[in-house]
Amino acid sequence: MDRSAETILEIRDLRVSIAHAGGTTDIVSELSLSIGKGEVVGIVGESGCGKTLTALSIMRLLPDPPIRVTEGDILFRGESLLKKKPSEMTALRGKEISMIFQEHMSALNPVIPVGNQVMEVFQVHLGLSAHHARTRTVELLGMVGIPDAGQRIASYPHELSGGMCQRIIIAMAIACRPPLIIADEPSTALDVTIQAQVLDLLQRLQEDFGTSMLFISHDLGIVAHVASRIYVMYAGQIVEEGSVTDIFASPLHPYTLALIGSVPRLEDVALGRTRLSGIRGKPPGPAERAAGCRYAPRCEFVFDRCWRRPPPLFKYSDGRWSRCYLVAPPEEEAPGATASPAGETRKEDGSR
Amino acid sequence: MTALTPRTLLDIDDLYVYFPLYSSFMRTSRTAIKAVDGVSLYIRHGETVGLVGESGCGKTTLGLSAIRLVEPTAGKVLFEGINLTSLPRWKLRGLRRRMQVIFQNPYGSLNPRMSVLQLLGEGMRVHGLVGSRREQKERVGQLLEMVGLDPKATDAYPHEFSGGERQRLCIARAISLEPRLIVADEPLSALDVSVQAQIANLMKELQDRLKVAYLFISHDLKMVKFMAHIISVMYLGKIVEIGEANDLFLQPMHPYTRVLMESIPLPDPLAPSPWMKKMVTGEIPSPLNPPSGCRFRTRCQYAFGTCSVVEPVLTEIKPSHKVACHLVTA
Repeated sequence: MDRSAETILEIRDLRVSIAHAGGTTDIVSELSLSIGKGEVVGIVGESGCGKTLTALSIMRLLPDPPIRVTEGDILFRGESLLKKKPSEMTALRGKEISMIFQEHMSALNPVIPVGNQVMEVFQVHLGLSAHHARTRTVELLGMVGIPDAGQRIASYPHELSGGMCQRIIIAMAIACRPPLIIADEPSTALDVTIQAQVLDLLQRLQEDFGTSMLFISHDLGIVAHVASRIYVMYAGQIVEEGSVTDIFASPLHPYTLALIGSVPRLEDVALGRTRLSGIRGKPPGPAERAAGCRYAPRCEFVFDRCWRRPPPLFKYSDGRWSRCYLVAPPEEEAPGATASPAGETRKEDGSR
Repeated sequence: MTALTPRTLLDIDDLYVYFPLYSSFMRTSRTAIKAVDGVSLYIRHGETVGLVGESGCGKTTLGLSAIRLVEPTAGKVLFEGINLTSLPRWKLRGLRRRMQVIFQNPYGSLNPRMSVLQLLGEGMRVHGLVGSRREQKERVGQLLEMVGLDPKATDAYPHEFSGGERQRLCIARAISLEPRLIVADEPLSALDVSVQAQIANLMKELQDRLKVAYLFISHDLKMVKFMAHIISVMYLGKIVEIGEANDLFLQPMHPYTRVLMESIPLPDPLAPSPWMKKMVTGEIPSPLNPPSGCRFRTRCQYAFGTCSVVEPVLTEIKPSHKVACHLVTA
């Protein structure tokens, strides 16, 4: 965890809430996360767990109102993004931090040729003339594997396949060589063979440029191969953190374990496994979260303590954290430990 | 394909589905999208046949035309020995209760203005399976219980259910008519991973209990492997490989099957990542004018001269394992 010197992005105790007639409800809470320089960090979780909102908070693109950051801070190269003026954020987006969205069809403007959409990035952020921007665009499109880039820049998004559109979006994201890219399910809408091509491209560019990346996905298989460190999210919180090899070899949180068990493996049938372990019930909505551990109602290892109060993130070993009483250190087990544990373990970590 | 055995439930014989494209002026059809281009396939009682392929390969069209929800252009479909393709519509309606569909999107396939009782009861009422209202309500309660929902939820509306629960409703509606065959068109892909597992388990349990056969259409090879006894792989309107699930996975013969299998990222960081293998280049060609000869040749790393000239035919390489590739059959 000694990455503080080269940490590019740090999120501290983030809380994102939605305002409604009856007050506010937290959608994301107690979320702390850091990304080192050149590191690829994955966030895994099911839909509605808050992974996209976390990404949008970094970009300051939350639909505010009603959803806004109510607590915590987001530091990009040591500077708070939350304190920046809108104009400063505009200058930053696409140049310093860029985002790749899931729906390639809605991320591109359907009435503007794709070339112009990429050119715009150069014109706005680097102040290039149209002529220079065009040359750079053709170069860039060639780099992301678009054949006949010279002709293709005049195409409209509907004339291109999903895979090609996603390549254009990747081109836009890397145009200014930003130090940080946030990729929100960049390959989910694509077929497996095209997905492999797009992920290959993304990974190659990331390695060539040494870009840091926050990679968000619901697919454990993809994250296993793209990220070096993973945060598992459930119901608006991080429930487990660790290196990719550790998490897949020995998941600490019951949710992570169950999530891995939900994916059918190729050897299942050969081993005579006829049922998937799955997880009973469904993820809770923001307003229906349990009082204690949010995963308790679905957990197969649940015991008394889980219902009483929400578990903090417990440190298991260096860089390994789990929000589960099963990995609580012995002193935590002491009866009558009433001090609010929320964050105490985390804050310790933050001050190091 | 084969002689009709007593256990054969559905026998698709050389089925073609073309969607003609009309030129705007004379309304003459010059070209057609060949969505399904000569497919033969059979499904036995109580068995699951998985249909995999990328989007646009014709798997949904094949599934729907197999029960004549899409009119086939040519070919024959025998359902329990009855030729569906030549059957008049009024006779087909009576048969409908024996073949049901589950669609991909559980949000779009349940009428938001109908209560659970109406949604699940309608089919049974139309087919005269229930007499009184009380009997209908009782039966709907039983169905809800069978799919793991609260049997008292008969007056609820679809919006009160989550995605997974809605898919359970769709399954309940499909089994309400005691069908022999359910065409399940990507029934899991709109759901979260943990919920997918629940629904997959439910579908298997119901199969054991009701002895219903599934035509399971999916792009998720892992799930198809888990669900199906027989797997057929489609590419651009044709079946390129078909075989028993285990055979196909242990010994994939067609280059496309191998590409599909190797493209799946396994949830194991130590396994080589699929995109490091550079298995396949390019994208799926347009079904408007598929490549000559073998349709996969434009993306196949083993393609050679013959591939662009002669179209490979589906050939049996061992009992119940067929492949359409010159490398295998030559």
